[in-house]
Parts: sequence; C-alpha cells; structure tokens
Amino acid sequence: MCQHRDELRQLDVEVLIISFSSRGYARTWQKEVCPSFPVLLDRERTIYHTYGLERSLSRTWNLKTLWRYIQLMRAGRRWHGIQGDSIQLGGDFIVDASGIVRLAYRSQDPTDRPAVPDLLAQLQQIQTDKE
Amino acid sequence: MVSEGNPAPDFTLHTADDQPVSLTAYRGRPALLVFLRHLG
Repeated sequence: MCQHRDELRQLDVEVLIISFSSRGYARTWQKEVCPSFPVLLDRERTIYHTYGLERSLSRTWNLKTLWRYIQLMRAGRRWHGIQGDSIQLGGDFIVDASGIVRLAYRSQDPTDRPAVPDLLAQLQQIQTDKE
Repeated sequence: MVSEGNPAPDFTLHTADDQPVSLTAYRGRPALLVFLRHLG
C-alpha cells in the first residue's frame, strides 16, 4: 500500500491506517514502514468490532503465517515482537465519497489481503462512476 | 455488520500524535480504511 502513494494521490483517495498498537509503537512503525499515511489508534478495538473484524487463534497462527513473517524479515522488515492482540485479524474497506461502503474485505488469515492492483482498480472505477 | 452498499459507520480516532480524525471529515472523497493486525 505504502509503495502506491502516488497512485492513490492521483485518485484523490484518503488512506487511513488503523491499528490497536500503542502510540509509541505506532509512531515507530509509521516511521519505519509507512510514513505516507496517518495511523489511527483503536486501542480498545471498538472500530475493529464495529466493522466486523474477527479474532481467531487457528486462522492466525499457522505455517502460512510463519512463512509470511519469515519472508518479511528476509526482505528487511525488523521484528519488534508481538505488539498487542496477536489473534486479531485485519481487513480493508473502501468508502466512497458519499460515505457508502463499496468494499468490505475481512481477512480470513494474516496473509489474506486484497491485492493492491485490485484495490486501485476498484478505486479507479469509483472515480469513473462519479464522473 | 458493515456491508457493501450500506453507509460506513462513522468514527473518530486519534493519530499517534494525538490528533483526532473522523471518517466524515473525508466525505466528498473516497477513503481506503486499512485495518492492521498487530504491528510486529
């Protein structure tokens, strides 16, 4: 996502990254991983719950997840240990200019996220529909 | 549950620098909400 900042700006999309991490750790993560977008803190995971994002031990900790973490570390990502609830799953939502949800993608496991090109294509379509 | 075609629930959260941010502030532009897992 962070690598696509320019494309997202061209589409006039506001990207909001939401985390339940501590403030200090979120600042570190933002500085090291993704300085382009704001990180909003939902420490109690109230908004996670509102948006229907689940917690799952079996879907979170498995070989697929461990392999993904290994790949990230090999790519240079620093491991800072587990910050917060390790079984909380994430997701991606697109909200159009009228405030309507156009995409509600709830990850089934930590490696499950929509491909960024697919997100960009959907955002482009929303812009086209608006014109 | 939040679903496609329905209004997105509004929220106000704070940034790591303690600035409040509301989803409705971005009405008029599309928004991409990226909910992370733990930051590790």
